[in-house]
Amino acid sequence: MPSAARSSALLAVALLAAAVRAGDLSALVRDAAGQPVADAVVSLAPLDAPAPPYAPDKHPVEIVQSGKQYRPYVTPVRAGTRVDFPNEDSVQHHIYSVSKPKPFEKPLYESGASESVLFDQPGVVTLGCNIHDWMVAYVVVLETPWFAKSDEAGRAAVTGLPAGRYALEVWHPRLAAPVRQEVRLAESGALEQAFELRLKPDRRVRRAPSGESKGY
Amino acid sequence: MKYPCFAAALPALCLFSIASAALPVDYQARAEYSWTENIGRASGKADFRDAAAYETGFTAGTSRQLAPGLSGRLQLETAGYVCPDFEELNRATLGPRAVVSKKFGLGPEAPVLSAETAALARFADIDDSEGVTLHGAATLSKRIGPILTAQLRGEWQEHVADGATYSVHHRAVFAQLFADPFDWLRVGAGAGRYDGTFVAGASAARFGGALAGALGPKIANYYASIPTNVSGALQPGWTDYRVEGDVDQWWLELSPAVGDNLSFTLRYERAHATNIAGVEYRQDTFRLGVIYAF
Repeated sequence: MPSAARSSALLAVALLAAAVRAGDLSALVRDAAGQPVADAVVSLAPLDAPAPPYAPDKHPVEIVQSGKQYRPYVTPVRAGTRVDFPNEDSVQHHIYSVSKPKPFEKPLYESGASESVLFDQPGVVTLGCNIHDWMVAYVVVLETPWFAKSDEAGRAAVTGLPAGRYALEVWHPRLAAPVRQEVRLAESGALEQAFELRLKPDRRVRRAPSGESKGY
Repeated sequence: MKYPCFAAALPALCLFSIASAALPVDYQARAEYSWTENIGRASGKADFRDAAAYETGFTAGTSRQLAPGLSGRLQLETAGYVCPDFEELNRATLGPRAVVSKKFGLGPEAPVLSAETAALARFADIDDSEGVTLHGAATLSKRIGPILTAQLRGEWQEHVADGATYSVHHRAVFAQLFADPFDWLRVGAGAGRYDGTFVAGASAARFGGALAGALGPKIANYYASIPTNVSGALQPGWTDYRVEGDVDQWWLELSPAVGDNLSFTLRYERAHATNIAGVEYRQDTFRLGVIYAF
């Protein structure tokens, strides 16, 4: 290609990229006491156009069974994602879910085993272990590719958003009332949102050992 | 303390150690301080003795899911009890326990039925009380909502001792209720009834008086028919005797947890026993314990 033509083509690509330049959303999630909230899922569903088709993630999504806990506690995924469940413990587990979007059960899950589950329906899937009742995790299955999970500082960043209107939703395992709102993102815009969540008490099953009757 | 019998249990310990090399083993250790009012289970107030005791326990076990909803557990457990004021009460136990649990459904609220059996060798300062304790129990547990757990338990136990006085057996039923208002705090209460034989004690003067008819002919006749042993456990001439009767027991427990592995227990127990001759025995125990799961 002659150099003039190549320069024109590069210029056209650059102009096109600028025209569809995406925006970002930064969210800060806190509880009613002002403390940062980790593991909140912030998602944005486009209202002006359908969400782009699902493209499988290059990196496998994993929920590891380790130390008789699921790690991570909350995993947001796009509908159509396969999640691997490696058992890194030396003991067996019995993964299950009775949640409507994905009921499933994997008993006799040996140490070192790994199986995957396809999460193809949107919704929140609660995972448990039928041997270790305190083990719990959540898979938040979304129809949009634009989502993020808040870190320990309560911060979540969604990047690469085309301009337009979105239905923004915040979800957390202990959320007392749904948080939904419509937001508008300008071209190359950056939006900052702060959320104050009303959280229910943490009612996880106790793991610590308990005493026993001494008899008579 | 006479503990050479521990040597008999060593092969079991070795076998368990070898097996545990191939199996995932979990461990639990506990230590407890207790204060018992009427530690000798006397019926006459003049014979009441209160004492502090220290107890330690260690458990090593392995669990396995045998089929969906069906789990098995094997453990080796040992415990030691030391009462500094009355050393004749010192004792230790060692032995295996097997538990099979069936969970009916999925999730924490699914009911669980467990059956367990244990055979524990008992070593004690009172030679006649040494022997083997055979134990069987069935427990039905049901978590009710996010906070409450209810348990019903039935158990059978027989202690085959070297001396007849200490060869006792009982059947018992208990109901327990636990509440977890926070993930770091458990509050529990329970009540139950034992039916069988148990060991009580009396000073030489009181027991001699009872035999002579000071408490009436019914008691005198009954006490003359039961096995006794002058153990001297609480004072010179102290007499242990085996009676048949019922024991009502209830307890309250507060158990704060620090993290996932460590918890404390503060427990109050009251036992009220009545033998078939109508003699009553009251015992109160306060316990402060710590449990660590490795």
